[in-house]
Amino acid sequence: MKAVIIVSGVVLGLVLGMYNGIEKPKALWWKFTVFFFVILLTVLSFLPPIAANFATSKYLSEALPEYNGNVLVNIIPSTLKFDTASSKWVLRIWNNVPKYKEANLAIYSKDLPEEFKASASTGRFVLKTHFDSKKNEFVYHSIASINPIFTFPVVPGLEEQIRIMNYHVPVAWISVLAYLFAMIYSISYLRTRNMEYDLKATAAAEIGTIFTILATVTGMIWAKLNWGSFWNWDPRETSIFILLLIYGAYFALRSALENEELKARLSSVYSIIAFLTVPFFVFILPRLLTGLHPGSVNDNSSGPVVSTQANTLNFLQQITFSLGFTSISLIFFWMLNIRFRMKKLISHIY
Amino acid sequence: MQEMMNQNTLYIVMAIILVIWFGLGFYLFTLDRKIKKIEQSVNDKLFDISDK
Repeated sequence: MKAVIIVSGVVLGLVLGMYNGIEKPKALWWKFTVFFFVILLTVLSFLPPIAANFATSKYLSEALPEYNGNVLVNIIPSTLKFDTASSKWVLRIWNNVPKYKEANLAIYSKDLPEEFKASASTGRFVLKTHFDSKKNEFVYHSIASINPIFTFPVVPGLEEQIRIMNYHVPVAWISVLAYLFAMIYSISYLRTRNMEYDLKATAAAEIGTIFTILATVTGMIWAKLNWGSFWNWDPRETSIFILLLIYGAYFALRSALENEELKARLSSVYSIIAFLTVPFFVFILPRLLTGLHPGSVNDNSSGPVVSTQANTLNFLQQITFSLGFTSISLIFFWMLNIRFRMKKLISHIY
Repeated sequence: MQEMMNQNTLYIVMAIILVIWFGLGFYLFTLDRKIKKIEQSVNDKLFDISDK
């Protein structure tokens, strides 16, 4: 199901993006559709609070002694009672995990927070808690959100940073797609010798490079948060760096040649050969070496996205992630459209 | 104000990103429109030359 949702986001982005080609100006409805998808992606990426289920929270509390994280709970107000011996409020709470449905929540305070009093709310909260395994209860710390409509799951080690995934991964994917387009247009140029294909190929390579740089920068920020430093020479970081050098050489080659015909021919051949390295650098090499990215050989899971465990990402997270692919693809196609038309205009003038 | 900022950091981040998207979107819209105008004028001129 997860794969279907993500792939349909990718396909929707491709089909909608390629609609009406990239030569003609895009229709107004198309531009508004792009805008709609981008706004929806941003709102869905940031509005839902991150909340674990009981099992994840218990696991994290046992693994990390200082853990104090968000848990999604439904309270049963009728079970509320005050335990005078240890001066705490005790409340029965439940969630949707079949094996671990109910638990106790302890509130170590004489005054019960207003929100827990009966009829104050429908009883759905995201609470900051930790699990006390000796007393077998969740210990209340504070309320993070009341009656959340949606929540994102807690992926151990990622927590709030999971929101970056909705942008970082699609941007990296678009850099591959853009270089693929550059290769396809280069082949078309060599077959037909039509200068328009050369313009399309360079436009795609330029935007591909922009997206590669964006993927690198967003990745660096994420690396600082999760791995401690901006640059770690992880296989994927190294390979994207080499990829930038390869495509840097493409632009150097183009700017070194005066003759338009020769420039188009040589750079087309270079672009085709350059793309042959992309699948190895992006999909194969990082999975063969030890590294920090999910999916490296020393990683005992393949990461929340590729993992075959269905519940690593909840439905909303899958939809938002898939929307990320659609929106970023649409932005790419809009940029490609504008860049190609600009290049065509310039070629008319000179 | 400070307390509100601390409690809703995420929503403030979201608002800032939305502002950036709106700004970029507006820029792309106007850029697209300008290019369309130039395309039309270039096409007109090309036809003028071929007519003569």
